[in-house]
Amino acid sequence: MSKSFIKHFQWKDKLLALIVPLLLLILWQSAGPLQLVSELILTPPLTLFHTLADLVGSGELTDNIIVSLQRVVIGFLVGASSGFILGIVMGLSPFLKRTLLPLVKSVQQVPEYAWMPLLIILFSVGELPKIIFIAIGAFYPMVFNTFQGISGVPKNYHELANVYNYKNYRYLTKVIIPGALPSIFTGIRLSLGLSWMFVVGAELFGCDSGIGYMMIWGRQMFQIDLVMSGLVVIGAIGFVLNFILEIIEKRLFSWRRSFEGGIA
Amino acid sequence: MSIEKGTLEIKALSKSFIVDGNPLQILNNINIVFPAGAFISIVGSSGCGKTTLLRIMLGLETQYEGDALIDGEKIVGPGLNRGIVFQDHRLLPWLTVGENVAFGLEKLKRKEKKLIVDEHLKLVGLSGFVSAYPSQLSGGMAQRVAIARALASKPEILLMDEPLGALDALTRMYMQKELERIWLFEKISMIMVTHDVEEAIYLSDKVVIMSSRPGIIKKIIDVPLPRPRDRASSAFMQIKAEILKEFHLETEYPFAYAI
Amino acid sequence: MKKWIRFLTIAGLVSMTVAAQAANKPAVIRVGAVGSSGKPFAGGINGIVQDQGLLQQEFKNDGIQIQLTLYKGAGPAVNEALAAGKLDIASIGDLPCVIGRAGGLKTRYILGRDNGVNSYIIAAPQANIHSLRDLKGKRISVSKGTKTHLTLNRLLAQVGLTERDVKLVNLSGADASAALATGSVDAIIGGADRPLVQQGLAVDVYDTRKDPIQNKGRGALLVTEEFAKKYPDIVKRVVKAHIRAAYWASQEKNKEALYAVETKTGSSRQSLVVDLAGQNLKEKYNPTLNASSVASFKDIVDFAFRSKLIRQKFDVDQWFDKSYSEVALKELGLENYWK
Repeated sequence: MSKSFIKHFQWKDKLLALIVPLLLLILWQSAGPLQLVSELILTPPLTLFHTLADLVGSGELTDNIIVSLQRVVIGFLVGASSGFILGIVMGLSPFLKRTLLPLVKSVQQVPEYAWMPLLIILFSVGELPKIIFIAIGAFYPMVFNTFQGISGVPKNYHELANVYNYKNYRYLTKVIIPGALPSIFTGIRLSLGLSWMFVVGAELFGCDSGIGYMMIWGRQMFQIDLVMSGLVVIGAIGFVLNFILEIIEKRLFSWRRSFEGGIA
Repeated sequence: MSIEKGTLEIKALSKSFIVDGNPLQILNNINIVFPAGAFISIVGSSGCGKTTLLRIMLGLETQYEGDALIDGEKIVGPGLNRGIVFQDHRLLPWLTVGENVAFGLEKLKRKEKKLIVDEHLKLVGLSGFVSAYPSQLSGGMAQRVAIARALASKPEILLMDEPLGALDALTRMYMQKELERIWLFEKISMIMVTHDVEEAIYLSDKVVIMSSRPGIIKKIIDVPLPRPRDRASSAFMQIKAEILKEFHLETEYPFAYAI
Repeated sequence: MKKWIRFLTIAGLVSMTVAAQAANKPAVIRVGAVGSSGKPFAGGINGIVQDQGLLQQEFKNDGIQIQLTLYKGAGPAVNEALAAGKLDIASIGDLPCVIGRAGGLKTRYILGRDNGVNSYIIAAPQANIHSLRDLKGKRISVSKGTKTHLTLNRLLAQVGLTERDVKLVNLSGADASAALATGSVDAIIGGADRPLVQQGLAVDVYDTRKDPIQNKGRGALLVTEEFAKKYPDIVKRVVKAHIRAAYWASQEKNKEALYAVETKTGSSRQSLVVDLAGQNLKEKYNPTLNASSVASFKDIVDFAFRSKLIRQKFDVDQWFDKSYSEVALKELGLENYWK
């Protein structure tokens, strides 16, 4: 394959990757005039752009994003770190695995959104129930992935650690956690993703700030463009969060580079 | 009576595993002394308990009858006076080559560590690879790093469980030469489990032949050949034939191997 | 498969609509209302229309189907259904219908329903709230963007307070009651919640029963402009059925029966008794479009605009369409009943 052909191919690919969203955008914009869907329900992209610009201009959007991000960060840290610790504990101790895993699994059966009313009753309407709700979302992927990662550390590595007399803390930090890290990182990604989704659910109740609230308010006030703006923002921020994690992951797991790609 | 450092002694050792509720004898009344500084190979067909014996010497198996002594002391667990090279290189993929070699040197200062790592990477011929990751190495290179790691903590005895078993034939012959060079340089005891008779003869002062069910020492054969050894020499071939005879693999035309 | 069935159903309905249009009558009238408390029953006048089958009776001989959809999601859900073109006639609360109209829904206001929807302020006993003035600095639960929200603003203004003097918590229904019971909020403003007071979990602070009518919530009956243009006579008859219900409800002798209908929505009889005590039923169930209702809606539009609930104002006079109710009242001989 010649270089110019590859170049040509890539150029074509890029064009295609541009054309499909563009067509969708045109279809979206013309859905109203063509009477496919009412513009009142499916905000046309141009209107949406104006709404977003207005929201940014008034500072409303930034304020809401900051509030939601704060909730996500705190909830994520609380949920993911407790999931991480429990995952390690269950991964290391067969006894605790036997006693705790069935419990964790059965509590997981509670549908996520059933938690919020209960949390409000237990912890009042302030920030606490929201943080806990997000933490619950962040907890499960973390606990299961950490647990799996740790139980998946090859027996060989345990033996090696035994031979070199690695015990307790040193064993945990030098062998167990690094060995489980790819799986733990999967947990972190899922966990952060879920936190970001759960914030919308958290802001459904007793709340007057945040992106989720903005969307609910938009729905109540029949300003569907607010709902759509929220969707766009949530998608964009989710994308950015994932992107940041991917960069960190790439750096962290540089050792995964394959033999072919490395020094021959 | 003082015992020279690097002596490993097995006395009246028997071991059985429980398989399906019944005891299965793996090793039966093993008696052998591995003298300090010697290179000794243990050969035997699979199931003869040679790997179990090595694990006992390493200290990973502690449930058995009889005694396993290092320098006259009972082996109670793994210790840094014994190094180990497994069949798989068992390098930790998230550590660089240098960090892997330093795995047993946790207690040393950075500078000392670096010195030892450099020294041992040089010994195994991988000086430029200190910051490479295991995934970037070939099988032979990875196994050399594993040898460097085992030697870095200055063991009296290096135990090897089919260390070259996973390598292709050419790399393997090259590594045998390397191993001999390292042994001559380090002057420590080396005990190697292998199923490759030629490899055992090429490297060892003595070859211990084990047979299976239950594992016993069938014969110990001296290899009084000068080094470096010529695999094609008639003396080499003779010893090979003698060992193969123990496995009922003797051939009517021993010289056919030389072709 | 499901999609096909849906497609065929829609195609069938469309062809029926087309066929019916030829005779200038629809095959089906799609009516939407708020299903309170999640029970399959509408409240107020709608409940009576539903209970007595007044619409079905009205259109029985024409072969026109009545398709009633009750929306759990209250006003916003009804607005969405209107926007999606799923409804011809909609019953909705005052503020939501203003929000919908301001948001671009092409509707006309054709009839009032209930002018006396009361708001109650109850407080946690330990919150030490005994009057409107005591609300200052307290956490008050309100369903934001509803008529109750407007009423709260009015009540606070009566004692020289504004929304900024209190801490609003956006909750509604059972969530609000739970929040009060657990001390998450100090007071709630909402409908009559007698059980909470009876259990000693709350004390009465204030209610709008004796207040002038602008402190109370209203219900509205809307028609889409499209439907009204196509079938003006049908709209008039729909209005007529609702006026019949209002006439029935406005009579003291039917009060017990009215309770019976209302309890089908899930409200407790006791809360209803309290709510209607001393109320002039004729005034409460006056469906006519008059100066008072116009003024009330102008007020709501102003409030909603000031509070940024809506982005633009609209002309209430243009939105109201008295023509249907005037004819219907005359036909029923009730043209002077509510004057």
